[in-house]
Amino acid sequence: MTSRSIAVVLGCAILALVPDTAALAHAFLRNAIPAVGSTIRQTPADVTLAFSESVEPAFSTITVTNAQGVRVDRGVLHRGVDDARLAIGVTPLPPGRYVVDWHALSTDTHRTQGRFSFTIVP
Amino acid sequence: MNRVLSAAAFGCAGLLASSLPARAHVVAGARVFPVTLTLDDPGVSDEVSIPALTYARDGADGGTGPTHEYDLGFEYDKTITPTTALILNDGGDVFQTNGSRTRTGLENLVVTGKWQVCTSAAHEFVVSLGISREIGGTGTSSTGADAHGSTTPSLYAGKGLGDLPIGLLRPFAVTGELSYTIADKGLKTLPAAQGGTGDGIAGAFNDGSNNAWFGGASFQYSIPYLQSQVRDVGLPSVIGSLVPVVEVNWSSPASAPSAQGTRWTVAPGLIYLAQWGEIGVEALIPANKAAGSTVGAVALLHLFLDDLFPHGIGRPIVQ
Repeated sequence: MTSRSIAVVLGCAILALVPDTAALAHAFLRNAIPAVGSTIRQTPADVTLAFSESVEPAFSTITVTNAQGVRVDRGVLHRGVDDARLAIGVTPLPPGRYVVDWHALSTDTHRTQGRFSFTIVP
Repeated sequence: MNRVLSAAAFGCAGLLASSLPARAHVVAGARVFPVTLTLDDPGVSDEVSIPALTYARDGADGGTGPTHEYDLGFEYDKTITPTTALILNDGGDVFQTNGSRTRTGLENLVVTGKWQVCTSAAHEFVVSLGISREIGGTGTSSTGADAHGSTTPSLYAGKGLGDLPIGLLRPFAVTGELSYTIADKGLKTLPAAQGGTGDGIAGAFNDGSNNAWFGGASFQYSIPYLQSQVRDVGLPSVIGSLVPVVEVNWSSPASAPSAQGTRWTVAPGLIYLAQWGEIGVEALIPANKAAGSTVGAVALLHLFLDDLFPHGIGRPIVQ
């Protein structure tokens, strides 16, 4: 076996030992409801964020603001259907553009943050 | 590709297909700067390259014969505090010249101290300073490792465009590196009677090196950023984990006499970001005559230790 073969096999062997779906590190946004950048017709009951890792609701935040910068969320963050989802209720929303700001603390204390918008049309 | 390599490649492909579309690594707000292949990333973290494989053929490396060069580079980054790190680089070289015996050897060990000076989450901006020490004589002289070392201060920076009102261009980011290498022993022209190494050009030189500038920039479009910050266009997870990137770098002697001119290289490619690390592949395209005439390639397998072992070797020694 050449040294090149050994290196490739060694790299893949290490890779194979790595758990790829366990609760690890940075929690990044995988998807959201309403979807990032989407245009919808009805006010959602909640804004729900799904992360790549489990997050700590007590140390995470989601705020939803309208075009004037006024908060339109109900202020109480709650866990979604699993440990990697967070949701927050919103008041009935008139047509307009809304911004979702989030800060997440994963269960191993890595912090991440992000911002996206969605639009409600009549 | 022999059977062992084929099996390994299939294994890697299987792992890739089963991975979550998460990403790392240097993080500034919502921006993640992946590890670039021809220049260093703008921050510090716990990570390891196993390996970076670079291929170049004769002219791409400035040579004159049909020589195939393979560089197998290894890097280990260990954070001391959340904003400082110690980095070790080494590697092995293989030179295959048609009609000649294959030559192999180690490169000199390089130790780098790096400090992530400034991080602006709101502006997706990172600046770091570093100083590297190449330890002369730790590599194999017959494959090009210098007997004398050098010291290289460097400036690194990264800026994401996500804070600008530019719509679908917000996933763009730029990173850069500027370095100045100070050789322990300068390159000097020797009197003809003393011979010298010659270094492949007319005239004779001692075994010293030039001081040199190195600069590089990467231009990257983050599809993960597009999906999570700008517009979820519903891409499959594999595509949604890609970062198309173009890296441009140059190196130029900064002292006389000079055996080589300024070299420009352009490296377009793709980076796949996963939860555990990244895989990157880029072409190495010479952009001027001094950089050669043939296209090389670089591939990187990189593990994010702070994501894989957040409670062990992946955390700073001093929190």
